[in-house]
Amino acid sequence: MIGRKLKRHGSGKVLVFLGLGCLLVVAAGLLGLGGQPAWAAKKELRIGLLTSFKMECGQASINAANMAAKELNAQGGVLGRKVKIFVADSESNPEKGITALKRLVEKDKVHVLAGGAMSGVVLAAMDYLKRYNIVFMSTGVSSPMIGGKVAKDYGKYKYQFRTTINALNLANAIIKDELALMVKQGYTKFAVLAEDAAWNRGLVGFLQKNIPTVGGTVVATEKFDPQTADFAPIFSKIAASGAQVAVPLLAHTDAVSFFKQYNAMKAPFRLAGFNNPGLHAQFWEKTSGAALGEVNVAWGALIRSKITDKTIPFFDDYRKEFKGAPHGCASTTYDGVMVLADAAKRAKSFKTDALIVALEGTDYVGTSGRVVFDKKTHDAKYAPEYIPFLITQWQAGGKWAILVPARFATSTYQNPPWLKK
Amino acid sequence: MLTEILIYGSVASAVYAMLAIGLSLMIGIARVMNLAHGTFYMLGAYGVFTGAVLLKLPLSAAFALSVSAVGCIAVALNRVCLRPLKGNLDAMLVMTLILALMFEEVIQLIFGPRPRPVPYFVEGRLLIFGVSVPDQRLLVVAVAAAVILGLWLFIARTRVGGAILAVAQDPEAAALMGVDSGRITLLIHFLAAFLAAAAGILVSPFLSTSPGMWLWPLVKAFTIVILGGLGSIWGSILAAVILGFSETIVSFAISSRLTELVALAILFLVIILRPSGLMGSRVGN
Amino acid sequence: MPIGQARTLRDHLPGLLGLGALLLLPAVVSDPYVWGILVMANLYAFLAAGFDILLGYAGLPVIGYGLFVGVGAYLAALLNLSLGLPPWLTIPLGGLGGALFGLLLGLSCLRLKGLYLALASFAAAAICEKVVIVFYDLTNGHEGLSGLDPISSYPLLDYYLSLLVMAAGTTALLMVVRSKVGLVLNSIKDNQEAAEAVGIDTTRYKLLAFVLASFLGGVGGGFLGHYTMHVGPNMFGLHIALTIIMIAIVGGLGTITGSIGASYLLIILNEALREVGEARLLIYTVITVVIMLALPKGVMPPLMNLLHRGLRLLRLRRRDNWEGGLRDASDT
Repeated sequence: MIGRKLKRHGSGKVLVFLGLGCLLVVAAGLLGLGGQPAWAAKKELRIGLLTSFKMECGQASINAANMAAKELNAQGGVLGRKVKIFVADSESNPEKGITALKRLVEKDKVHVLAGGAMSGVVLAAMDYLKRYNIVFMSTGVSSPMIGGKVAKDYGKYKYQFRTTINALNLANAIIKDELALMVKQGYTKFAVLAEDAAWNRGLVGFLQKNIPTVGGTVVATEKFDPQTADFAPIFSKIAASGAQVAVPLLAHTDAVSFFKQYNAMKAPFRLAGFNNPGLHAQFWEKTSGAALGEVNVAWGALIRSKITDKTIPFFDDYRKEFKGAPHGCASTTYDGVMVLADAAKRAKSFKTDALIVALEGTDYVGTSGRVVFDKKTHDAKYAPEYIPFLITQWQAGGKWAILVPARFATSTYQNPPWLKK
Repeated sequence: MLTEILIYGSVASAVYAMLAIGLSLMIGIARVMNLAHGTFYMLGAYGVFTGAVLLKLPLSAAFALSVSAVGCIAVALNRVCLRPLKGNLDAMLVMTLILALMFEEVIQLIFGPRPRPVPYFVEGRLLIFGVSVPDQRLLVVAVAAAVILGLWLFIARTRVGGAILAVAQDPEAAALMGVDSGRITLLIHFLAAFLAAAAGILVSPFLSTSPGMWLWPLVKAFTIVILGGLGSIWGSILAAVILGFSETIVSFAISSRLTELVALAILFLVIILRPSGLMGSRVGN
Repeated sequence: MPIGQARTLRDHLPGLLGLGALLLLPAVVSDPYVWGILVMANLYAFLAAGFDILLGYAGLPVIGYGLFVGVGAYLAALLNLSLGLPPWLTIPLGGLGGALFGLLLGLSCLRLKGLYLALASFAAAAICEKVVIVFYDLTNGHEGLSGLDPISSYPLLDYYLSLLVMAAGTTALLMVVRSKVGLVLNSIKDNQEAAEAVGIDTTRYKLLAFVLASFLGGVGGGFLGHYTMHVGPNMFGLHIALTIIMIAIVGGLGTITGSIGASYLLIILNEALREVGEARLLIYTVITVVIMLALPKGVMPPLMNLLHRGLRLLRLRRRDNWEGGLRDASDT
């Protein structure tokens, strides 16, 4: 045994030093736990950003929130206070997310919360909002259950607002805009290809029920674990079903592998659905062009297009500052912070109750459109006159084209090169 | 559907065989219960990513560099972390598992938590009975077959191979005959890591690389080693084929959500009902 | 400590001093945020002590210890959410659920040791995790169940309740291992055949170790679930189990009390290192590997030896050797 060996060489001292070293580290750690002095919190508007650092959405949210804070501070802050962003990593895991939330509220003493990159984390966090009496502006999660909880128990969950989509609105856009477009091209046989996750629960059934209303039929449905790495069996099954269009619903899946494998197989169907990791201008390079032909639903300042007067300046500033185009969560987070600031200004207060009243009366033109919250669900309204959905496609040469709505369109639908009409 | 199952089942079996043979050698000859075996698979994939994508080396160079680097890491791990625990199987199990977690964290720190894509080694695809198969997947089967054949020749035909066999059969007799079992142990570590890294490299273009990618290959490798029983390379190959095909059949016939359950169920049931596996004997104690 | 020797107050001095310090801690640190971290430290100490019975005493490397944590957590969550049972009922019931799974796993793995037991227990835990994910109608899949009743609404009360659970759990375990049971478990670890040859019913004692450890796992899981008001499938997983295992090893296997020190050390370190960011788990694992190589008995036994040596210098008491580590005393 090594213990015996060490003992012979007088391990006593080694032990003492090791023990002392550990204790020192702990002591240093405890000092680090000291927290923020209360006086500093009174001079600032502290926004706690709870998000998942390892997701594209999380990184984009952090960038965008800091960008919004910088711009607000350049204008003199909010009600005379400087805006400061505190970030905490939910590690895409509800338990860890709650620890991170507690840290933001109890240690960093933030005044409002924002962010969220995974529905499970936000759903778990919602139970803490009343206890902490704090507003949460969700900017990156789409589960319908979130708005549903607010509608069902307003007193308990009224603290929750959302600038990003509710998957039910998304489902409508997929059916009425995206799949209707595919039907118009002559493709009527669809296969639903959904990862297993909270955000799209209910969405699958909705698609199965409503695809026939635009003239299509569902010939196959396949659900898979978001940790799946090998999609070949799934693609082969879809191909065997005779589907002309597969409707992927992806958020936590490794979308790069998904598209690389799809393209390498030259699978005999088109992809038109919703791919959250693909809501990014760099998706083309990441997949080495394998995204070619993909039709996706997007919103916000993803593509340099004049949705509102603020969209193009935001897109250019973000690209300049962070050396890359914004991800889908960037503009919703940026708008979320701006909406919070706007509500605080109108309420002339940072008190939670006043903020909630002011947020419910929000009518703010942001980078992704006009932000107005639904009174019952506290979800931002997504519709052509509020925040419009965009149907996009990756086309030859890495061009990210907008197909629908007509007022922003830059191209028309094109098949992947290996598929004929 | 049958053709697809045959093709994808073979690809999966080939990868699993490479993983499991190395592990079988490691447990059978080096007497190391290595729960860090999947880590070599992961390190191989990241090695080729570093070589081919970051350093822009030619693929063959990146491949060679990656497998030899991983082999050396395995040897170093044995010297530094496992030798002091020699003889204490439980400590070795825990140590290797913690090492696996440690490497996951190191990789996550260096390369980030998100999957990093590796380019295809060979582009194009082949039409086999109307099924379109990317060449990369066929390459996996070809390379795996070549590597396993090479390994078999090495063990059966060379003097070093003879020494390995001698240690496998009777370590004490081998020592009496002048075989340095310490060196053989290190060689086995190198070979096992080499095979696992090669498997990781071959699948990296279509499965991407991610820091957590070590876990399931590890579970599957152990499933195969235990199902096949120790003693022969052929037991592992047979078990790899069984697992590869049952997973593929389940994912085609029922749902791809259940593939990992297949390996787990086989692992659990074989251990409970027939710990000696299909052929060969029980491991360790 | 030889079995059967009467204990005086002095023998309990270190334990009582430690308990006193933990009782008074909130008076020194008045930050609810820190109390929250200490709740986790208490819980992990409790869980690691349970694991210690398996690996440290009976020599059973049950890597799938998360199975019991997960079962306890989900059972408590389902009872609380669907039947509205209060936490003080659901947590012990979660413990019983964990114990049932422990009994089942123990029965199916009776003849297994080492690698086989490690893999079988891992597979059992991973199968449960996958089942929980696939059958999401009941379990809500990956996202888990949220909205559980909290332990209490007061952070300070949470802390004291977790301290109570931890102290009760570790004291009970200490009483068990200092009785004949501890000796028998150790002899099974060393040589099961020899133990059987002298007429010990090893099956009964092994099952007892499984049931004890899994009851603690289940209670810990239920408490954890109620404390965070959320349970998720990763509670079955390898990461939480490994954290528990690392705490037990760093503290010193076969000591029970070592888990407490190591848990406070590592959980507080973990939280403090949040400032450093992503390298947290790495430092955790490196510490464990270094300690496994340099101090195979863990941190606690040498520390206690030092303490006792100090006490002896002060002529306060005679000392006995503190035993522990992955191997038992006869080995060193």
